[in-house]
Amino acid sequence: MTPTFKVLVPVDGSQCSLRAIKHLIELWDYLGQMEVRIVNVRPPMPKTKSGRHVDEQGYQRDQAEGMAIVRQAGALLEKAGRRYTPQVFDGDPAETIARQAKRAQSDMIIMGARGLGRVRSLLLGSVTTRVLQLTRIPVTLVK
Amino acid sequence: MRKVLVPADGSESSMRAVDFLIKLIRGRAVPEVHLLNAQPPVMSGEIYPGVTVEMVKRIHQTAGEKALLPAQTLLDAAGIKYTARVLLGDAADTIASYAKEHGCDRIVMGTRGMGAVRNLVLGSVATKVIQLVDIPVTVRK
Repeated sequence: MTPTFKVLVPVDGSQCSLRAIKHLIELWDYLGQMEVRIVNVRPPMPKTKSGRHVDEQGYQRDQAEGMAIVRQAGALLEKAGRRYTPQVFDGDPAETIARQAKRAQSDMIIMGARGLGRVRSLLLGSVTTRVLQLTRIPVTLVK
Repeated sequence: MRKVLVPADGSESSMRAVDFLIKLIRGRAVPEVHLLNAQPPVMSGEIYPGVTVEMVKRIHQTAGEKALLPAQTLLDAAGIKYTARVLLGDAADTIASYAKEHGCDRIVMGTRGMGAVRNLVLGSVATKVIQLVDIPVTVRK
């Protein structure tokens, strides 16, 4: 049997990242067995010297917001009868995406060409550009 | 992924893209694979007495066929059917218009081809292709 094909899909709630999920659903018949992780990366929040978050409640809210973004994207997969692993991380978005893809031994990253709040005239968003720089894993760019 | 366009120029990066495409085809559905090599258009400087446009075109065509050979060998070995074409024109424009004309719904390509500048994240052809098309593009370093 062919090994499971592992896909990492970073999402940020943008239209582009939802289209990335739709594209993934279309791929399923061609790729067969797939293991999908949908991730959202939260920019780090200030911590005290002892490593606690300065604003613990704010941190929890922010994490929940990240999970809501992941679930919104994941709902599209579930509707198509597919399963996925939801994950929220803290850190620099591009570095975290590249690191997690490597750690999970992902075979492919599928992401929007542009994310939220980017300069519209740019061809690729800054996070996407940086991910391409940092990883050797094939990246599928979805507009 | 009904129809996949794979631009190939014989570069290592484009060979890795073909390799990756083979890895992608593993489910019960099999896409139509289109291999494409773009060769520079005929320039006025190439034409002089005794050398016709047709002759120069044929030389470019032959160079393109040669550039496609390694990719064809890989696909043959994997038992994947494909159509292979050589077209003359600007690489990115040719790739984008071929994708549109043939209704391709995905492009799988190397990030950089022959003679690309090393410090760019994406080669100039890949960058321009992403600009020109709306379908998903998979880039392989």
